[in-house]
Amino acid sequence: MESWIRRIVLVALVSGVTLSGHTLAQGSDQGKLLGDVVQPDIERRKVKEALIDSENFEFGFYAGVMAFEDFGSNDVYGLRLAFHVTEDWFVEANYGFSKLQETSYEQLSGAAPILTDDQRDMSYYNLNLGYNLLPGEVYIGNRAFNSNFYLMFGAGNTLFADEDYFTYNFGGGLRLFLTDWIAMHWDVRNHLMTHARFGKEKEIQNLETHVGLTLFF
Amino acid sequence: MSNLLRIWAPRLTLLLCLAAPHSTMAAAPLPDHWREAGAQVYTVAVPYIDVHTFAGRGYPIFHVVEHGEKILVIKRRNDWFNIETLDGKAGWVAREHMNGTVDANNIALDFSTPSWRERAENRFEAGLTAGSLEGAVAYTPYIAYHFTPNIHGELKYTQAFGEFSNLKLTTVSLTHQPFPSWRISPFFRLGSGVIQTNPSTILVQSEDREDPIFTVGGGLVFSASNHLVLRVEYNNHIIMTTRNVNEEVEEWKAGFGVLF
Repeated sequence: MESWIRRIVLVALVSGVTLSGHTLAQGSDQGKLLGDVVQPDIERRKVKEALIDSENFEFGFYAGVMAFEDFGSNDVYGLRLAFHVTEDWFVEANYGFSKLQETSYEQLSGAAPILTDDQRDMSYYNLNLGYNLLPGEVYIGNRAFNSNFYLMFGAGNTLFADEDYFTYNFGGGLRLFLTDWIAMHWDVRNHLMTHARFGKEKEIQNLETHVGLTLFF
Repeated sequence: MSNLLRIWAPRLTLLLCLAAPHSTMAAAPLPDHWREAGAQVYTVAVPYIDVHTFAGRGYPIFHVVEHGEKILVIKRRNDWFNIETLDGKAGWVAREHMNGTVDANNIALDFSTPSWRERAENRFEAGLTAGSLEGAVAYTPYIAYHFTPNIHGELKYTQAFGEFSNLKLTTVSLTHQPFPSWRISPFFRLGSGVIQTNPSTILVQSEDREDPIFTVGGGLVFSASNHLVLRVEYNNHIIMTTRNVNEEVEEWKAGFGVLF
């Protein structure tokens, strides 16, 4: 008696499974067919990116120290404008100015100064290509700040003693984002130029380091 | 009775939990700034999109927005989009992930990288070319404005550092590009300006001079992307001196320009 019941249950179960399997298969076939028929092939809508506010420009100022060879280490102030072409590459323009000190020779010899006071106003500008080499985070206390360590090189002009000098410059810096649109910078640059102020041509390297603040807009 | 409760209570809470997010999401109205005119609200149509802490592929993924959830696009930096979710999370999504979103009409969006052909949308250009001006090292920062795809106006400032003198040229010119649809496209230039000659004070004692110049030039421009062009050019400057003969100065340059 019990085995009879068991047989009925088994038969019911097996037939149920095969039936449902069949209907399932049929259902998915139908779905696929319907999908082919109904799914419209709508073209993607091109997003007008101009409607989305972009923040690829960076503008700010900096202050630091620049060692001008033979003329001492002096305060330097400057402005910076950058455009971020991709997340890796950016172009940057800088303008900086400084006041030169007397050379050691002028101080020791007591002779007439080599440069007039106006001629000690030094300024430079340059255009650089930069690469964000080490993007990452830095931790200060228990806060995390996004950061970027970048390298850059470029060329420009140095106005020194009323004369313009072609100047290469290269360097690196750290960009520390206080928010996603305010950044602090710490930069080290080397400016290379040749002048003949002392009679013979002299290749000089002017090292500069500064801290700055920039805004993205 | 207590037995029944013990069995059903967890199931009921589970059911409630499962039902809760759907009911609240459907019921809660969008925040005010999501409903402003021009707010870019999109819905995720792929299983999920990654949200990074900042605009760069190296910054960690701290959140994913799931299928069916809405995002608000706030701003963009390069190929990264700053988004906000309904539960207040803010982060950055890569351009290719933005392709997995649909708009209010359920139409898939195309966030693909703009091709170089779309450079016409960026009308301003700023760049730098460097090369030689009569054998001296010279470089030129410039800005330009594209009035049409064919014609643009330029303002250039050239400095040349010669052995005996430095030259400074400021020119305004008009450039014509006959085939702007070519990726490498020729252009022709007509311009005018002033040239300043500063003899080196250390070597020669002579006066600074300033003369008008006329420029005829041309070159090739290569559109690397919609934001970057590379240029090679030749310019012939005629200096209108105060003497009887005019001078001619030749200039060869290569450089890049950024479009924005």
